Amino acid sequence: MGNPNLIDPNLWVDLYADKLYSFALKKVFSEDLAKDLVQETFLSALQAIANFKHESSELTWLTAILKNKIMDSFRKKKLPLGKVNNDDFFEENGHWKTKPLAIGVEDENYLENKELQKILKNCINKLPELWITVFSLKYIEDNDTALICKSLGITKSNYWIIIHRSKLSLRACLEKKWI
Amino acid sequence: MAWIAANKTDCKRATFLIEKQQYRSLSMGEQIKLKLHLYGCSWCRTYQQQSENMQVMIARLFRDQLVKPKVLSKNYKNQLKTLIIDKLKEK
Repeated sequence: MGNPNLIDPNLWVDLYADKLYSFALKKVFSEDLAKDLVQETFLSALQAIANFKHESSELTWLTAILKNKIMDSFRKKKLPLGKVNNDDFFEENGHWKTKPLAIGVEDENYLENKELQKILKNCINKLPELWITVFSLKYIEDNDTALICKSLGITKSNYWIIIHRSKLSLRACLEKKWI
Repeated sequence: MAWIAANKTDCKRATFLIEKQQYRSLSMGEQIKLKLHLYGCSWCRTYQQQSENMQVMIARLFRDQLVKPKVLSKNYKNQLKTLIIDKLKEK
C-alpha cells in the first residue's frame, strides 16, 4: 500500500468530481457555473500541488480551494443594482404599471403542475446569478447567510431589495410564459 | 394625512412589505400601511396570493435541488481528465 496521503491528480476526477460538484451546486444554483467551478478548482489545485500539506485529506484540501473559487465568483459579479432602480414594474408614484394577471399558481393543484415547475425553473435561471444565490439563501439551511452577504459586500437593505426584485422578475416571467 | 393618500398608490412599497413579511414580522407601522393598502388595492391582493404560492413552489425547487444526488456527465468528466493529463505534461 502506498502512502495514503500521496497525491495523484489522475484520480481526482473519479474520486472527487461529483462530490465537489454537489458542494458547488449548494452554493450556486446554476449547473453550468458549478461545472466551471469544479474545473477551476482542479486547475488551481494542480498549480498549488507543492503547497499541499499532508495534514488534511485531499478532498478537504480541494474543497477549501473550491470554497475560495465560489467566493471569487460572487465577488466578480457585481450586483446589478442599477438595473434594480430602473423600474419596469411600477410608475413613479409606486403604482403598478400593468395589472397583475394570472401566472398559473391560482389553480388549487398548482403544486402538482409539472409544466409550471419547468417554467419556474427556467425563469429562475434567467435571474442574475448573484440574485439566485441571495434569493436561495433563505431556502438552503447550510448556507452561511452572514458570511456570503459579507463577502458580497451587500447591506441588509440591498438584501431585501434583491429578494423583492427577484420575486417581481420571476412573477413577470411566469406571467409572460403562462398566458 | 398625506401619507394615507401616498400609501394608497404605493404598490411598490406594498409588494416589498409582502415579500419581507414572508421572512420576518413587520413593524407595527409597516403592518398598518400594508393592511390599509391591501384593503383598497385588489391588484396587490392578487400579488400577495401569487407571491405566497410561488414561495412554496420555489422552496420545493431549491430543496429538490439539494436532495437529488448530483453527478457530472461522463463526457464532462473525460474532458476534465484530459485537461488534467495535459496540464501534468506541461510541468
